[in-house]
Amino acid sequence: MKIIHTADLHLDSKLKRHLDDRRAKERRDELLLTFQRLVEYGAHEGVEAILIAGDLFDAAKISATARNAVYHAVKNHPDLQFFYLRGNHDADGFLQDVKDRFEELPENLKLFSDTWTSYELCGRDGASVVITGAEMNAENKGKLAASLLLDQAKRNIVTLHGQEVETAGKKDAEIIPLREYKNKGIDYLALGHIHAPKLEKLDARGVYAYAGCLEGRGFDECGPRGFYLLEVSADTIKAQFVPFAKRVTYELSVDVSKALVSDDVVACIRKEAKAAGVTGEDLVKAVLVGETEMDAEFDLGYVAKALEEEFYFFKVKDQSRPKVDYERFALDASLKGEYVRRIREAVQVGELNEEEASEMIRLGVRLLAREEKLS
Amino acid sequence: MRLLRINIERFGTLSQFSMDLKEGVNEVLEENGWGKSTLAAFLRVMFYGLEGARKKELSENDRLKYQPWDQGPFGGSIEFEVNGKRYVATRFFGQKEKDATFRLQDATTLLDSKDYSERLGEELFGIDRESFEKTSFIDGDAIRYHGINSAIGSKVGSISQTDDLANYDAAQEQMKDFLNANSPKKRTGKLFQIEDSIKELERDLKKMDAAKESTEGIKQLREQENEKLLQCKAERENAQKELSGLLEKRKILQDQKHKAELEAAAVARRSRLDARQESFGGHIPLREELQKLKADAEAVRDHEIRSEGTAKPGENERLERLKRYFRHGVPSEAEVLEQIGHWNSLQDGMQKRLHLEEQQEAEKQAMEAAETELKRLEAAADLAVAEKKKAQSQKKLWGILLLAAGIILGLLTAVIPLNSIFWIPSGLLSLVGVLLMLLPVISSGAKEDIPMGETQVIRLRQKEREEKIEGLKQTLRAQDETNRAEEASVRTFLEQREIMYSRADAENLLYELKNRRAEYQSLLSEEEEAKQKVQRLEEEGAALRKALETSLQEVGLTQTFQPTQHAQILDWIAQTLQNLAAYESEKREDEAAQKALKAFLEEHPGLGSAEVSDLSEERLKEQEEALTARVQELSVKESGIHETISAYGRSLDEAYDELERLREEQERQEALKEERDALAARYQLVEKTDAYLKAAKEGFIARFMQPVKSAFDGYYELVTGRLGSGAEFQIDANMNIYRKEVGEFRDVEAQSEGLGEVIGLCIRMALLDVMYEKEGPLVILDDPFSGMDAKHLEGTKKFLEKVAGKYQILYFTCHESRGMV
Repeated sequence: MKIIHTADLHLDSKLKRHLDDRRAKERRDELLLTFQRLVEYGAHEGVEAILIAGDLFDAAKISATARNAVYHAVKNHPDLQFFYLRGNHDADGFLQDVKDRFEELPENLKLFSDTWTSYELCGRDGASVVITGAEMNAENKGKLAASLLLDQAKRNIVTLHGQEVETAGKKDAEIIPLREYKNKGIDYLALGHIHAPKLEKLDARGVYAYAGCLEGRGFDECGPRGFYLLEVSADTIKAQFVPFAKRVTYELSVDVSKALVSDDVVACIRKEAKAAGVTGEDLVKAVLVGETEMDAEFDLGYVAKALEEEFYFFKVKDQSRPKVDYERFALDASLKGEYVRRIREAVQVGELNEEEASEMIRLGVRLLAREEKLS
Repeated sequence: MRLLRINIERFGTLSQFSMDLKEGVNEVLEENGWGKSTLAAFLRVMFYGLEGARKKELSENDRLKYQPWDQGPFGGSIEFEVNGKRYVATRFFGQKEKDATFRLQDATTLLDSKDYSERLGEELFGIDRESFEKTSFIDGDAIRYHGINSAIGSKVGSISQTDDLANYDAAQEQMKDFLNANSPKKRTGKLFQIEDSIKELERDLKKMDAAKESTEGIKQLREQENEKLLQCKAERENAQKELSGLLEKRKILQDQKHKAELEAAAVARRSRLDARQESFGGHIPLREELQKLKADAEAVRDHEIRSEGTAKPGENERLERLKRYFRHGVPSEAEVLEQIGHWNSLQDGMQKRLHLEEQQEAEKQAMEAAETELKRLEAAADLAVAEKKKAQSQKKLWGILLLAAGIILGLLTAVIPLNSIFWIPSGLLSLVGVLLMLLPVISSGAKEDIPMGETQVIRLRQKEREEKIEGLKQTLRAQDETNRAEEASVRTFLEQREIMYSRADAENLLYELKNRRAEYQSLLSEEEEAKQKVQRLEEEGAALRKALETSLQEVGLTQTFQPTQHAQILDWIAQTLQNLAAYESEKREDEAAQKALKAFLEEHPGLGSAEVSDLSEERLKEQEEALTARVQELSVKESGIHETISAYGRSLDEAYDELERLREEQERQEALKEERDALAARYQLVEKTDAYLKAAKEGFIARFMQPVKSAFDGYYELVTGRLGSGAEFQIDANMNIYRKEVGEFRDVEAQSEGLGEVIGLCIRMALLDVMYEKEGPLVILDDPFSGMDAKHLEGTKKFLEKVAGKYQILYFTCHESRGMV
């Protein structure tokens, strides 16, 4: 029996942090379409259930488009069971909207509450699994782990939405103290909340996993994104990550130590992107690092313009530092030399650190050479 | 660089002025107003071009100041030497900037040279105009020192070949602008504004908790309403259930009633059916039997009708009359046709006869007409002859006369000697006269034949006519014969059959005979057919009656009806069919009713044993109405709760919108904070860079300050004649000069005019010494000592001597006392 574990789709996100209105709308639509693709994939691959471990939506109030798309995706696949655990972003907006508009929820949409709710799923191949979940809040968080009772003779999947910690400490409703869930007969702890995929051992019997988000929405969600495909048999539950995002977000660290001009920077970024397997469909943030020559000239605007057509979205940030050869300026009788020597003295006496010293030198030298335009 | 010659074409008050210069001091001692300052300005202009092009003040705008009154071109040339090479630089200016010209020539070859451009001063001296004015150009009216600029400073620090110092001002300006624009302290500063925005957002974001609480509150209220709704729904459903129970009871009651009705109806129908069955007398005939009987009876009836309508032999009156008509025998058709032929021939003959008679008559008339004509012609001929004779007589007379005239004329001509030409008319007259006399003789024979020919013709024709008439008569006679024979044949034929003949009716009689004959034949054959038909009908009728009898037997009616009583039989059948239809209909109704009753009982199996309500139907109805009202009331209440839930839903939407807005503001705030932090870091960087650059600049300049101080001290001591007097002064890194007074160093700008001029002079020369370690520029002194105290004048000479050793000096003065040479 196959089950899909996904979470944190955050459908209907605004996405305006990095993107302009047009592309933000485009990405919102793509998020929705990726969800629909996921359902189609499940139907096509003979998946019997899709487990959504929280944050299906980004907010309590969602657009009619998102509501209708999700509703119809569920409704039109009556052979697929949808297990929907609400997260901190979901609230009850979607469910109430569906009840208002369509009067009842689809039969194949299974919900959870703030107490443990279990569903036994019997697969077409005879395998069976019990899916148990609970929606955490401030009231129940201290009691949930203790109140979980599973039939250890069965295959058990438990689903929660929150931040994993080794032990509970902070008074936070979204904390999942992993230790308290060990040795409870859990084969697969399907978690949501962290947006990067992760699969780790829970105890001798089982594993826990964060599905990660289905599509990266920003540069804090870089790398391949997708879902876990679970194979449930009589003895085990095996999990395999399936990359599924239409677009991948990359943050590339690009060493520009040898670059002297903007075109060199462009070439370095291209090389790094190629090595990382970036395609024209992806979102890229290039962070320039390394120690550059004093007279290296980088125009970030030019670099951004040169590469903006090569990726779906591109931005660049300069964290490189000029390499200061103090000896070079030791006998420089110019104003520049005088300037550099003073800064060196300041570093030596601790008035300045190396980083700000190199930045000051680069700026001062470029200003004196009329190569810098302060905006 | 050494200036060799000055040529002024026109420049201000100077015109056509030339001056050769030598090394050392070149003194120009002229009174005020001569144009010394103009000359000095000319040199500046020759090196640097006109100044103040956009200024409106005369004093600040070289063009306005030095342009001739007629606004014509002005300018001139200078000859100078650099590194052993001599050049001539020529500049002219017009009313507009574009009118300015510059030309550099090799002084030896007078060929154009590209060694220097129109930026001659910058290229020769390495300093701009401002720097030149601050140093090389020492104007007595502006000798006081007001500090240096970067160019001078850069020149002063010219050990380095970079433009750092020269660009410092621009860099410092940029940093200053940046720091101003992004200041965290000024209201117009971006950091200040971002911080302001962050605080404003912070204030707004304080609503977040309240918004969340409010959202939760609304959700709870909606949840409560949802619970109420569920309760209300449950109540309504209970009431509906109770109502359904009541309805059920009522229905049972009604069904039982209905069952009783159905059973009673069934009983009544059964008895009616039995009665109907009896009315058939024990045997209910089959519909097919009745149909057969009916068909047979109808066949007999129809046969009778047909028989009645058939004509019997001997009943045809027409035939009888024809028989009498043809009692003498029936002629064959051929005979009749023959007689008709005779008659037609007779008609034709009569027609011919008539035609002959007409011809004959026509001929006779023609003959009479011809006779008349003949008589007329003879009369005319006689008349013509008479006339002719008369005419001939007249012509003869004329002829005689003409002949006589001719002869007379001839005789006269012959006798009297007239013109011989008169012989011609004479001859002509004679000739004509002779002809006239002879003409009647010639024509008399021909004219007499004409009347004679025509009458002959007429007579011939008359004869022919007579013969023709005779022929016609004979033909007529023959025709008459023929006609008579034809007519006789027809008459005989008719009279033999006792049909009275008349010529007028003969044709009709013949045709009538013909038609009657045909009719007679036809009627005879009809009669024969009728006989056969009657026989057939007789046979048919017998068979049909037999069949009817059989049918009667089958239905047991032989005692009731005879086969001949088909009308009665048919009536009986019609009646019986009606009864049968009614019986069948009732039977079907009964079966349907039985079926309905059975179905009803099957549908309501427990009806028989169902508990009868102890309440009457009316009471049940009352209770039902009460429950219906209750259900209605609960429905209304439910709708109301729905509306409340919807209202909460809308409020919740608004609350979510508000939360969303606050979330967006939070994101915006975070973004602003990021921006602020980045900008603040940048601001700090620029601030520090500014500070360190400033310090570097000061240090950098200060390094070169000492040579300037030393040079200044030297010049000052020279001018003042006081050794060590330089120690009274301090020069800072910005080249500001301070003099110690009353134990403190004070800015020399506050000094008196005399001392200020000395200081200005000395510092300028000191700067020149440091700026130009090797070859210095031309130094133009425009009466620099005019404001100095007399005690310093001696020193100024020494000063000039000293500087002349290093620089080429152009010294202007208007007073001998200040003359150096």
